[in-house]
Amino acid sequence: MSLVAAQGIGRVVERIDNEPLTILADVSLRVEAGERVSIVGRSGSGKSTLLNLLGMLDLPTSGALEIAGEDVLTLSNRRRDRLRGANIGFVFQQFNLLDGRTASENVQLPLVYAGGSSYWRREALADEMLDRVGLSHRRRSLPHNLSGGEQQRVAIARALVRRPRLILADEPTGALDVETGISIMGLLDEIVAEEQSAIVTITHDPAIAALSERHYRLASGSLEEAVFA
Amino acid sequence: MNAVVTNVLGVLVEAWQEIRVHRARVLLSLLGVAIAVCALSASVAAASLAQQAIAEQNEVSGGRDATLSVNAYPSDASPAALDAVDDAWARSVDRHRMDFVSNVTNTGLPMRFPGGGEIDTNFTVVSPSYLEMHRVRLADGSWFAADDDDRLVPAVVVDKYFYEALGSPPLESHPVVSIDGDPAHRVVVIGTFVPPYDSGMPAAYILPGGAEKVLPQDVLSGSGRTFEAWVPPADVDVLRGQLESELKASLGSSVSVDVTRTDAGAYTNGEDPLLPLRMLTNAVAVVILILGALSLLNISVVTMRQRIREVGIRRSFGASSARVFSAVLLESVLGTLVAGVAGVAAAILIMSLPAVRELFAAGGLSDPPPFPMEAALLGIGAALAVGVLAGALPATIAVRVKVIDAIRS
Repeated sequence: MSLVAAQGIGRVVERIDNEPLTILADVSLRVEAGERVSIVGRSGSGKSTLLNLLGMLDLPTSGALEIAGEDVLTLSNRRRDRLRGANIGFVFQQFNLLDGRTASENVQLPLVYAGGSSYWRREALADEMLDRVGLSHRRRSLPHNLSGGEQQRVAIARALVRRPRLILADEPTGALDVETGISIMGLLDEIVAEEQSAIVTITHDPAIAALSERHYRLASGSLEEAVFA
Repeated sequence: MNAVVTNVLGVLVEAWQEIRVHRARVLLSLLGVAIAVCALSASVAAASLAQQAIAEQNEVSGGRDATLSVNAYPSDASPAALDAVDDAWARSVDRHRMDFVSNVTNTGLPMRFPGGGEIDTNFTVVSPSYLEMHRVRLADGSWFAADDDDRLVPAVVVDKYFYEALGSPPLESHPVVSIDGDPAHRVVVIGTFVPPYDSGMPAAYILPGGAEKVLPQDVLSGSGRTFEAWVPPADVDVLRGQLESELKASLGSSVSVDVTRTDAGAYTNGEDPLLPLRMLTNAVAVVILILGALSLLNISVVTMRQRIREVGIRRSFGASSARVFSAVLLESVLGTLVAGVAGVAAAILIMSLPAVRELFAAGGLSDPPPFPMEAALLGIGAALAVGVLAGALPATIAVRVKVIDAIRS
């Protein structure tokens, strides 16, 4: 059973003038546990839309999509929310940390929705994850007191704290300088490998894409394999 | 079970974090609610205070709920006939086990005070129970004890005009004065009371045994001679009929017997005389509450539009729409609950100020009522209702938002 099994998925939206706009036409993708996949494409090619579909933040208008063996299109909203919370971790380009919460509280956020022992141990688990990204000394810092690199490390800790099977990273280095970006990707790859999670990275940077095992290019709404030196 | 507990706790943690993080905005937005709740609770408490003041005022003159006044006047007014009336009344008191009974006879006499001249003075012949029955408030000294009726020099409890006319001697010196200059008609002042209203006329209470020694007999045997009984309000109508019929049967047709209810309940029929005032103050408080709620709703909706991205982030990490709805709603309810508690606390504080109590209960109260529980519950309940109303709309906005749009916003 594949972790992600997308078969001919498409996404069409309606424009303001009621004309349909095809963002994704026919995308098929399989991701197995522990795999590292990157998807590159120009701005507006539908990279983020594909990532949102894989993360069940949006639904395809055509095709079939299974996440962790569950048919996403037949699930109730509630079940989809649970499936997402339990299996997927997001890393966003703009970090998307919650203002006013400390680094530790931000990392605890997914655990608040986890229930069970993860809920009760959320502070310890968050601190442990912050330690792994090298920010245990910044656990009480608020986002606006952290550098861009630090904020993204907190975001990585948040994405991984619930030990998801799939990490979806949307331009994770887009808001960072090159050096910090490479350092962050190294850290992300390392922790993902330790956790044996799969990661799908969306990027327009070939150097970042090259760090993955499998590479795809998104163009004209379709996905094709790409090769990076 | 564990999942339910962690869900509930999780919602509470989220709501509390939100309040903590945005405490300045939350405090400002809840200020209106706290003021409205304070006004609502204080108006209910003030009405209760005013009601108690009116009730006590009524009880001073008409007796407590419920007081029966018995006037049994024999046509010949002979000592034997009056004794028969006293005996018949005593039998009725025993039969109905009435604990609070009193003779009540009012008379006015010109009295000679040490300073010279005569001043009209009101004497009221009463029993010791009269203190509780009419809420007599002592200013100094003591009220009658049961054995005071046996004193050689009868005891009196006087008002400030009587006391001042005596030259305000210390009560410890047992000041004595004769009613008419006759040494045989001397009385000793054992206490002073606060007059219920400012008549400007000296007044004194005296026990029946003492009155027989010092007051003119024609006064004591006059038609103003009555008995009073403080009885359970639930039994008052039945007792009134029973007393009247048994006294008539016992005393015969030569004695005119009249039993009437004299406390305020006799003419209010259980209606609240303060109802119009209470309704007006409550209406004003409700208008304030609605304004507070609208202001809170306005701020909550605007704030929610600014927090859409946060909702998207939470949804992306597994928060269901139901969870987001409950967290936003609870955040509002928790906030208004705190505002409600603060408003009620402020109302309690305001209503405990002596100046405010004097405003609603001039002259003070014998039994000052505690801050009414209904006022506190009404305030907290109103705050919770406002929290639910002002939280439901932003919560609906939060769950209707598309997650991807929210994250991108």
